[in-house]
Amino acid sequence: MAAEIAVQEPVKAHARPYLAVFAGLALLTAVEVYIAQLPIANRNLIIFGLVLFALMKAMLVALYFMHLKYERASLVVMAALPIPVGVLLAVVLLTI
Amino acid sequence: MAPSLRSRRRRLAVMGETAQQVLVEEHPPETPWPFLTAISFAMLFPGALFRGPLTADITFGLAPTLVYFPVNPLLIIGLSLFVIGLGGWIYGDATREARRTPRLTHEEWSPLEGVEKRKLGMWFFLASEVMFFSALIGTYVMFRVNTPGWPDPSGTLNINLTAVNTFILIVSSFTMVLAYDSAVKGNQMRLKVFLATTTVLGALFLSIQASEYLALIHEGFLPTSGVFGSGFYALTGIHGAHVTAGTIAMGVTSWKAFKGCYSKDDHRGVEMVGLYWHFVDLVWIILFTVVYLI
Repeated sequence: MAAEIAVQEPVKAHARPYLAVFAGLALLTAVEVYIAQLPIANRNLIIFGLVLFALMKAMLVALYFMHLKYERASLVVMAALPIPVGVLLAVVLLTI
Repeated sequence: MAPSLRSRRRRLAVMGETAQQVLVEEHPPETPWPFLTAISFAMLFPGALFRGPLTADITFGLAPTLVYFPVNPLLIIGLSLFVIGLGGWIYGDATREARRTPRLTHEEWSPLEGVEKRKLGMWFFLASEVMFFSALIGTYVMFRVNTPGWPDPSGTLNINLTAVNTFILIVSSFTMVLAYDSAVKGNQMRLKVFLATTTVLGALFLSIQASEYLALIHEGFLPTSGVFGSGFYALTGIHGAHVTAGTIAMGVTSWKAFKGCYSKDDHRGVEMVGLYWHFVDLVWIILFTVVYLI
């Protein structure tokens, strides 16, 4: 549906793949729920995979739904800068 | 004040470029509401942090009387001020006739040059939200790693119900982006339908979360049930508060869309509420994994 409209509107140079992003998000969520219930002994491996999938989903939302992919790089930097600070906080708290 | 806004738009269409320029140079009047809201936060947070029961000795002339406060009075005052401040802010903004913020016309160089001012403001706010949630999630992860014998979330929480809820929020993000797309293309009918759908989906998410809370409380899983309990309610509760705010904003935006406030040329309101909504969805994507799955 979104792809059709993008064709009708050639003014916006980049066709925005909203439907594909939505499908990706839904699929990744289903995969996550499935993986979380797998009887794999190595829990850390599952956690690593789940966090990786969650970050991928978050990136999809930020880049396409929030249009960060089409914004200035400085705006992206501004929005993402606090994340390393949060990671740092967790690391510092862990070492106490 | 909508009729005057509409008549102004009509006049604009007639007069064209000159009127547009006059309007662009108008600055929004100064307002005390943001300041009041900030003050309310300064009272709200210590009020919530150091909550009751609080007792105070108040001497009414003769004998000292013990007055009992079930919650910290600061919380009540802060909350009231917050409602008044934000209400006044929104009301003032909604009823102001010329609400257009001047576009960035600086000659000087800036790394954020060309980013529309209102959008830039929204992104600054979202950056502060990223900080807030990074700290919260970081602290939760710290507890998760440092607490021996952390319970398996699937033993307490209903993963499948929340997976459905996650899907609802993702769908609502999709309908939001379609609403924005419709606004860009000037398709008023689709804009209304998708905004209304997003509002309904937001309310549905909240209802499911409320029913989940009720079931958990019924089972005896409370904020006082250890680190997992307090962490769970803190993270999902704060996120739920954000969804509540987003749903209210979405309802207002839908209402304005039905009144015809957004055009193909100016639909920044839809864009702003969309950015916030997607952010709340993004946070939930992380929370669902961190709190429910791992």
